[in-house]
Amino acid sequence: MYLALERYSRPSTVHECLELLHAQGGRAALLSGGTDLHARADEALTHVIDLQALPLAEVRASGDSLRLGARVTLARLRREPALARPELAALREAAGAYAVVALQNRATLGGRIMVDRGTEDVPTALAALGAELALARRVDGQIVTEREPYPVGQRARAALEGALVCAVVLPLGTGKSALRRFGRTAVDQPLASVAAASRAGAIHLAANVQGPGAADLRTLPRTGALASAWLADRPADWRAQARVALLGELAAFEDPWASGDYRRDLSATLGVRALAAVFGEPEIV
Amino acid sequence: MKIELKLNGKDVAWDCAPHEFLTEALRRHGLLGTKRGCESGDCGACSVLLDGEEVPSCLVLAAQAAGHEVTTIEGLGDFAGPHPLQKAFVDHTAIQCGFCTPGMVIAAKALLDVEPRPSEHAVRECLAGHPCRCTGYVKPIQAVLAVAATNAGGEAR
Amino acid sequence: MNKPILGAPDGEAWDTGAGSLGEVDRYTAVGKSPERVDALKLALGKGTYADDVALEGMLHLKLLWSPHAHARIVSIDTREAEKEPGVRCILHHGNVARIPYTTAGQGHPEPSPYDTFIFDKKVRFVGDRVACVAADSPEAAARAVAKLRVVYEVLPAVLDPQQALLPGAPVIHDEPEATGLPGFDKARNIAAAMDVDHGDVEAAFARAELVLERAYSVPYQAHCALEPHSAVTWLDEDDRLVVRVATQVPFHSRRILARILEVPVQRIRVVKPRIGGGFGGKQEILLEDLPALVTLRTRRPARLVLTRAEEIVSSRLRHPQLLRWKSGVMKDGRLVAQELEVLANTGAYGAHALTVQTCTAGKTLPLYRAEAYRFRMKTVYTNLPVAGAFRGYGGPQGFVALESHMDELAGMLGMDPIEFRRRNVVGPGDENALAQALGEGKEGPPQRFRSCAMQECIDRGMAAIDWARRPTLPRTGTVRRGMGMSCLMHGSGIPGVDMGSARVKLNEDGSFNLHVGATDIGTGSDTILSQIAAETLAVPVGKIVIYSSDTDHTPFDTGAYASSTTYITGVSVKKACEGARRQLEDAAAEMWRHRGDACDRAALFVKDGAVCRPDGERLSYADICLSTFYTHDQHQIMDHGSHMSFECPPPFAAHFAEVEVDTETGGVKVLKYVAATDCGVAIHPKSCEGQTEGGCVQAMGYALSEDLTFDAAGRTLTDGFRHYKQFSSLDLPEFQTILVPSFEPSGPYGAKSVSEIPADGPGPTLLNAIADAIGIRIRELPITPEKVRRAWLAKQAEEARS
Repeated sequence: MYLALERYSRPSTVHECLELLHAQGGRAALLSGGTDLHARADEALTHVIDLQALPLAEVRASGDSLRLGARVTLARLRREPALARPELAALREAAGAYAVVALQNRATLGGRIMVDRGTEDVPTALAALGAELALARRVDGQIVTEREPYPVGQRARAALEGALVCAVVLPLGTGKSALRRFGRTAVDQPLASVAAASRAGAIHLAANVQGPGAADLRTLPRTGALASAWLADRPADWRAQARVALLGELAAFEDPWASGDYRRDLSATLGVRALAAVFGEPEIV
Repeated sequence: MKIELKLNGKDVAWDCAPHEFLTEALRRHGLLGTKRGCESGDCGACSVLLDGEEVPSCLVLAAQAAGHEVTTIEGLGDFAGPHPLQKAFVDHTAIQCGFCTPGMVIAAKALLDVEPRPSEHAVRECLAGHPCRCTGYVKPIQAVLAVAATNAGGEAR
Repeated sequence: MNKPILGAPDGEAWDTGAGSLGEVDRYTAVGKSPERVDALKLALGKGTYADDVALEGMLHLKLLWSPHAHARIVSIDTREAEKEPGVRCILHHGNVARIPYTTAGQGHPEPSPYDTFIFDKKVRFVGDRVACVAADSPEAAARAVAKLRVVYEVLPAVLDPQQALLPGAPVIHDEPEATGLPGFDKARNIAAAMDVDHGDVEAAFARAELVLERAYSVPYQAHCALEPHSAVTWLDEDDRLVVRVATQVPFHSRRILARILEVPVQRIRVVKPRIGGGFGGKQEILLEDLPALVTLRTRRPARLVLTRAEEIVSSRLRHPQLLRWKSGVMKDGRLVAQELEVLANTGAYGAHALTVQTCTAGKTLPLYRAEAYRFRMKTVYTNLPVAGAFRGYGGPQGFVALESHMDELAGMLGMDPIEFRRRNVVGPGDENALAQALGEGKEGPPQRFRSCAMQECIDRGMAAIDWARRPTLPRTGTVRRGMGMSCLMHGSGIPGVDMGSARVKLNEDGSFNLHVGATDIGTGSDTILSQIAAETLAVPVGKIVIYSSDTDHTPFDTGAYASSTTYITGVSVKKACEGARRQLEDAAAEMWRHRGDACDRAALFVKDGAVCRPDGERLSYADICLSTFYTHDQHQIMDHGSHMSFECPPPFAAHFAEVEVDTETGGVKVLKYVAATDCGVAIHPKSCEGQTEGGCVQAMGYALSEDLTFDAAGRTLTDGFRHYKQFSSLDLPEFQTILVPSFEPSGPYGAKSVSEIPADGPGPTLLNAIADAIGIRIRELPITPEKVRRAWLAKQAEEARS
């Protein structure tokens, strides 16, 4: 693998970082964990801007929210005491399911968000958990910071272009969450995964490797609404009902590893299991 | 560009190109125990410790390692004094072709340094990034567990 | 020993080794598991592999690979590439000799078709060689490759082996030079073919009370040796070409290189350094021709190391096959007729096209006694990546069919699958019915089995997995369990073909240099051969300094393939050491005679590194060596041995698995796996276990998770470890290896082979276990979750209808 890099920078402030990015145009890329750097072996990329010196690795709980710096690694997410809460289980599970230990040590929260093409479990968990992103942008030479809802779908993700993800902000509460995924081996990108979370009396679901014609992350609001009614009390056939709702809301995405209808069927199974985990019911009957 | 880092306990200053990965820089400086197996982070043959954590050196630019501490397989032991993990891999016939061995040993060291008495599952997880076509993992797992069993709950060696 | 053997001479009992098992207790080096001779340096990360040298002025090679499945090269414009700074040499079909050969590293003459050229005017699969650039740095070579301008005339491609046989299919090898053995028919895309009948097949099927016929399908598999193919070449101080290459076959490499480079054998030295796994993938003259050519042209050292994607796409793979198995059986469970038809896909070139497929039959059909056997085989070319040798060499494919079929037959007969097998499986003294018909490209020597502990393998395996639990496993609900098993046999070397040799010489500290042509690719053969030497010479293993495979410095060996190193080279080591032992005794007798203390030469024996007399007098090897070097009767104590065998004793095995099937996801989890193997005397038991464990886990991936996928244009989509999924340490089930003792009279210290038979088992064993768990017979690998789920839904729909 040969990158045509001519320049490496390690800025120490967000301002400096965004100035560099702006100055280099399309030839520069932000470098966080670098786990996907090999995929960038193209001539156009001549400059990497390493984020390691930026102060973006904090984990801070404040009242009803938890702020996770974009440079927090997945390995740290797995063992971080602040995440040891039932409502954040989906994020812990997503971090632990990512690739292997050495890559978890490198991969960062911000990096997973930026490289996501609907194939990443961490973003799926974040979407279900109602995360917001703290972003910094360069607007007319000024650095502007803003908070935005988690971007779901290609268009929302495209809006991140040129921005620096500084942190993820997660609401804290009393709910539960779970992420269920399925790959061919224990160390595999999943054929599908579904995250479910209960929060403030409602259920939220998100799924990846779904979507008509292209893999993408999507939320499943109709199934969520149906399942929200089951938080206190569930009909005996809730699994069957949930399955039908999920199948109706999931599109079939086909790639060389799975056909569309199998993947939709599998996603429905994973969705029912994630819901069962949130409800505290047996996942497999 | 000039890269300063602590390598196997010693300060070094290397000239590296911005595009040079740590694997290449290490091998260029004669540290051949760090192997190239896939150059995409999926095989673990190039694993080294970066500030004590296992990382795939094929995905770390040498420049990224500047200012950090890097430990390679050569930093663990030598003929006169192999590391207990190196000895255990030998004693348990956990080495066949040996190409994956340095990576596995590095991974196991990273685990035992933070978790001296890991469960079998934790050992399997720590080796899961190290596909090995020769051993079928049975004996490498045994080797790591054997070293763990000698850790009396205190600090790993 | 060196005569073809079928039966014992009249009146002599057939030696099945049973009487010799007691000898094993007296061994001092064999049957133990000492520290492997190379393990510590590997654990320390010493640079011992092919790519661990960096030579002054070394050029780095990069290849341009075909983007088309089938095309003619109209032109190659190298002008822009040549302008890239640091480019020193560009090779393509226009500037290299056109000599047909096979990359298959086999004995001479190779039984694979000569259908390959260093570079050709045509490309035959996506990933075929087009051109090669040598430059001062890998980066410069890669940049120059990107600047090569090639005009292709794209030709219609055929990706399916059945379609490749149809009239009017694109002809993949239309070049006049391509030749092959009888059966080779390039106009019909047939790389190899064979028809064999043994006994009256029609009559046997006519007599059968029940006949069952089923079709099975097995896919490509990638070797995934962690070390990629690597070669470094240079000219030494005598202007000879030195080739340091990751190969299983250094002597074949030298022979084939000499022919295609048009350099005399004596001008080439092939050095085998440490090899990082081979599994058959390095039984191939795959890449060393290119750096060698660059070195010859530029006079500079040259290096070529494949990337992982190139490894998967452009090296070699396991042959996919479509198999049809038909058997005739009596209602009492006696097999009478067995018929196997194989259609194999060799991809664009016919490396091992004949012999892998004959082994598919040769390892499987003779496992069960029958009155008649039939084998029909075609190996066809397609415009897909190239198949070749892969651990098991046709066996893993064949056993998927045979052992699935045996379960199905037992089900049809209402018999217990194990009882049915026990009833028909061969035993000691039985003839290998097809040995002669299925030789290595020629008639093979006749064979009768000597050691065979198959029944004990079954007993021990059943006990270990607790087969009695099988009826009680949960078979209702979403997640179900099942158990399956299979019986297996393999071979030990290629009878009448494989030859190994060894040389041993004594040093003045009583140590020995042992030089062997055999190639340790991670199997442990350096250790095992050292143990055989130590046993024969009565010294500790630490007194043996082994050096393996360098065509200048070690004697010949066919190479590390066909499960031959222990069985064939092991005997050559034993012979060499027996010779050295005789010389030691002679020298000791002479020393005593010279001192006026003459002894009875015939009563001398060796023990603990010394020649001993019955009266307790002893002369250490060190003393003998010092004397013979410097003092009296001066000579080097040294001998060599060569060995070839007309026998090919199979190891036998019984594999057992317990699986869990999630009927909602289609996921299959292997819970427990038991491999009980009769490999004769295990020279190094821990290594035999290691071979078994590694071979089985590799084959579990073949069965369940490894899936080489192509798009409609023939491009490989799974060209990295991220998508080509091997089993990981987290997928490994609870694993139990059992070595069942037997003694093979024709092997070194009773040993047979062990390294390939494990690859034969997991496919059928897991298929049978899944069938037991969910009542669905899958006849196709890989057993993807989607296939299981689809089959489950189809069954549910079926049951709902009826």
